[in-house]
Amino acid sequence: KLDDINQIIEIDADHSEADFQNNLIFYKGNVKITQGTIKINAEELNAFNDKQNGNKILTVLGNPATFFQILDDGQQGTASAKKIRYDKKTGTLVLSGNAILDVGGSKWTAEVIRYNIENQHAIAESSSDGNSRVRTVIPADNYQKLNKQEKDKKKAQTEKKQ
Amino acid sequence: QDITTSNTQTSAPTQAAAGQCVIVTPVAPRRNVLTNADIESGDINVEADHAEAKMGKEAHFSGGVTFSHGERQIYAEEATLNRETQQLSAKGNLTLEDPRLTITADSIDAEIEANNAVMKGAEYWIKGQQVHGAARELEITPNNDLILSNSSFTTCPPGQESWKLQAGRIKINSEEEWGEIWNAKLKIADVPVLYIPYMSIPISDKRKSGLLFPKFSTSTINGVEVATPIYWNINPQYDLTYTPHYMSNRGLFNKLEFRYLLDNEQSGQLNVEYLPTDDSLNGSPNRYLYHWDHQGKVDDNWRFMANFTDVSDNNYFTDLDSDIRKSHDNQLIRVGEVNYLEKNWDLGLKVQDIKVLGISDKPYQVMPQLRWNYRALNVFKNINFSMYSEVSNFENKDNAQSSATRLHLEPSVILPIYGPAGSFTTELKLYQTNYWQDDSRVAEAAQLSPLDDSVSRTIPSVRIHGQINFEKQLQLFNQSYRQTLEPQAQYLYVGHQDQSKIGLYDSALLQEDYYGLFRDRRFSGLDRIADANQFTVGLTTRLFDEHNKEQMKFSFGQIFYLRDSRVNLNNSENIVNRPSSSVLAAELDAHIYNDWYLGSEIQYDTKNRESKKTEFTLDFRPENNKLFQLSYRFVPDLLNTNTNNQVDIAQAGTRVAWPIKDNLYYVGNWYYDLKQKRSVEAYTGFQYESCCWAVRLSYRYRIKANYDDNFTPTPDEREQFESGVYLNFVIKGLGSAGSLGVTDMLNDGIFNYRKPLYLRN
Amino acid sequence: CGFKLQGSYSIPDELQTLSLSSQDKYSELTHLVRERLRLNSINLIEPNDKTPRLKLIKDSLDRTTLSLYPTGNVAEYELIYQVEFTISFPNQEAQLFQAIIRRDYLDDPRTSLAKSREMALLVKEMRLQAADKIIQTLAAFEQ
Repeated sequence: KLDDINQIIEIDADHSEADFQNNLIFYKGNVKITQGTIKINAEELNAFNDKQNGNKILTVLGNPATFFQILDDGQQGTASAKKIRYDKKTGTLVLSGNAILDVGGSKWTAEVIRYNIENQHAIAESSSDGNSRVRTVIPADNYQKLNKQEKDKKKAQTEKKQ
Repeated sequence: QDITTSNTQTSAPTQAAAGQCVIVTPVAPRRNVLTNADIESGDINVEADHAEAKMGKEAHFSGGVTFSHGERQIYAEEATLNRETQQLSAKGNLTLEDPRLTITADSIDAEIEANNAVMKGAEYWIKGQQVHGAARELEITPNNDLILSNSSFTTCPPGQESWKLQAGRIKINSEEEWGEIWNAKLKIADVPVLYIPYMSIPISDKRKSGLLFPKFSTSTINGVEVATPIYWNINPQYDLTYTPHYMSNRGLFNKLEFRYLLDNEQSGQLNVEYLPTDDSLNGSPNRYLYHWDHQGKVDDNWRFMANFTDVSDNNYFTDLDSDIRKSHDNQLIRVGEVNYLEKNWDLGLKVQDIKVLGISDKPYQVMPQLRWNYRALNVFKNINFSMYSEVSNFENKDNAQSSATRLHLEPSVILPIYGPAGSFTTELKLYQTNYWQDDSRVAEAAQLSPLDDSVSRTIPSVRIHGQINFEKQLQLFNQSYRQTLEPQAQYLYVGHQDQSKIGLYDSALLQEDYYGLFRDRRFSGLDRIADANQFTVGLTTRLFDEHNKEQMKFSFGQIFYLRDSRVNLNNSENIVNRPSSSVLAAELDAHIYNDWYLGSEIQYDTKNRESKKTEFTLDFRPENNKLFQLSYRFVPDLLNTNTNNQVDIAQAGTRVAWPIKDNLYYVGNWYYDLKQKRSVEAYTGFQYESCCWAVRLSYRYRIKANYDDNFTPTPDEREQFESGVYLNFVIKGLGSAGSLGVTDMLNDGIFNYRKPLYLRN
Repeated sequence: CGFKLQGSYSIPDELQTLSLSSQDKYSELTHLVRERLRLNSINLIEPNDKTPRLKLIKDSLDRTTLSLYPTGNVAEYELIYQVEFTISFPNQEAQLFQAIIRRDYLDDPRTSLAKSREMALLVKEMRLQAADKIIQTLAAFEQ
């Protein structure tokens, strides 16, 4: 939802360690982060509290780390990647390492995906060596019934041939 | 008889020089690798180097974008997909491919849900065929048709476009694979030659592969001739060809052929040909033809067939180049037949009439004939029983002839004893026929002894046939052969009954070649069952190579009459010095050496020491499209019933069909009448075939059969021979690629033309 | 002179048992070929994917003119009867064969009805000859 950004972030993990000097907290072992409807699960989390500009940068690693959110229209948005970097202030996620984003009825896979939770604007890049490209799949059932009449016609034709 | 059991491996059609004819279809630089599931699912798959989107709204892709939906793949440098409006637009090295088409274009705007797309600055290729072209705008409709505006259409390779159709609008139908073209200009070597308001073109080999285009010719009879067939594909079941054929000596000859192909294997055609005024005849009469033929099958049991032709005058086929008949035969057989076939029996109902051109007296009509055939194998200790029965009603339009009804039953019992060493067959048959004849008018008119009103004829027949098969190994020209020696003998007894009171409706003397010696009848039809007490002896010897393939077969045989047969065709039984034996009939078929084949057939009258028929053919057939043949025929004292004079036939002939180069073919034949010392037919033709068109140039000189007609000039004033030069163009590459072959040219000669006949199975 | 009685039909063993199928189940040619196979003691069974299969594809009849009278009328016709058939072994590509029989007869426009009966008789005889030729092709068959 839109106001997820303003909700407080709760973090739960098996084990945590703090390095106050650099404002770093390190969590390990089935890390769960929730903020409003947003849920992030991962193996490890580096939370960096950037006091000067009042921001929090959470970087999670997982096999893969997953992200879940319920959008305003009630639909779900999910994402996963080896590494997810969540910038609380700008509300953007950077998924890298076979990143997958499934929002608004289309599913993206790419090397790197930048996704702005607020305006659902996404940018995907393929890997520099070009062998893992940005792939988008728009499932048939939720954008268009392969026009019914054409499917029936095809079926009728195949029956006639048998 | 011919021993060609050619093992025609199903080889692909020989391609004219392959290099020259390859239409290179561009391939997208990259495409999605899809599984069948992806294709069936109807999902949209997009791949790109870079993507940017307002999720759920509009996404923009760039860098080698590959878009696939179902079986359709699109490649572009950049594309925009709006999910709400289901709009896709793309440009940059754009290539669209699906199983049937490849299209390159500057840009595309497609509605995914509505499944249509408009492409600008497009070039299209139809896969598996040579059809391609360009279009300023190309639309793919929801049911996959292509609509091209100000576009071009050709089957020639790019750069060598010897012909091209430039058209305002072209529609290519996806399912039925034919195209429609509106206000098109035919351009030959970029020069506009012909304006065509509308035409449709078959683009699959379901229809004709070569579309005949303008035909030019000059002939001594018809003067300068131009014919441009226009083909119209009405719908998947019907198509039509209209050919205006202008002849300077005669006028505009219109030929219309309508073909139909119905679902349950019923097909046929309707022809109408009309020459309003034939200026080469006094009073320039109109001349016409109408023809219908139909063949059909309904599952395994029902067979339908109908064939009807009528022409305005006897010399119609002699003078005019009709689509219906190319040979010299002058009998228009009109027939309608329905057959019901079962495993052991079949039933047939038939009506038949024959119009003979140039002869006044009318043949009998079969109105109708019901035929029932029954056969039972292995009825009792491998005895076979069969029963042929028939009821025929004969009428005659010429009311001076008699009419009759005939009921015929022919039960027969056959005991075949068969083994590798030989066979012994005994056949007992009974001919039971009843006639009800009315010939009162004939008797008065011709003062002949009238036929009986009703006649019953019962004739038994016994046939005993034995054959022994010997074999031995043989070395010949250092090759090992298996030679067989197959002596066979047959005794035939047929009872006698005076049949001179039976009219002649469908009986005539049969010709006796070697195979005919072993028949149990001397006359065709049923009106004369010849009594017989005869003994036939025959011998066949064959040579089989080590692959057990027959390389030579020689047979000869003769019938020895133990008693003269008294039944004959004229209605009196006086026997005039009958020969005590039949002709000696001999046949030879030999594969002499490499690709040389010799065929020969002789019927020799041993009593008067003269040949009744001699035939030799020497073939050189290295491949099935290469043939060189020499032939000689001699048939003495034949009665030409068209003119009723006795004639000797002595004819020598040669035939050649030879590819000179990959795309240049020669067909030639020359037949010479040795008795009249003149050529009967001389034909020489070249066919040059390039990738997308072919041209045929031929010279033809041949004899004509002129008949009496009610307009002048009368036959003897008419020319006996016709000669002409013929040039025609063929558009190639529509439908199947590959070479056209020369059947069209072969079908041009009197003796080469092979007329397909209906086979009632 | 070295001749001895023919010992066997010289039909390869693997073809001693086969199935016969035809595009036209009840046609006269199918009946004649079945009878010829029986007489050559070949064991006929229903088509299955373990035994070789003889399939009659189609038969056709053409007529050509052989000679003309001096007036240009037709003197002799030649009938050409052609049968296309395949012999195939289980999961092997079928081999296509053709049997061609030629017979000729004299044309006579005054007895055209009798001539069409003669043509029908010739077709019946040519079918018998074609059936024999099919058996001969079986005897010469090599995989």
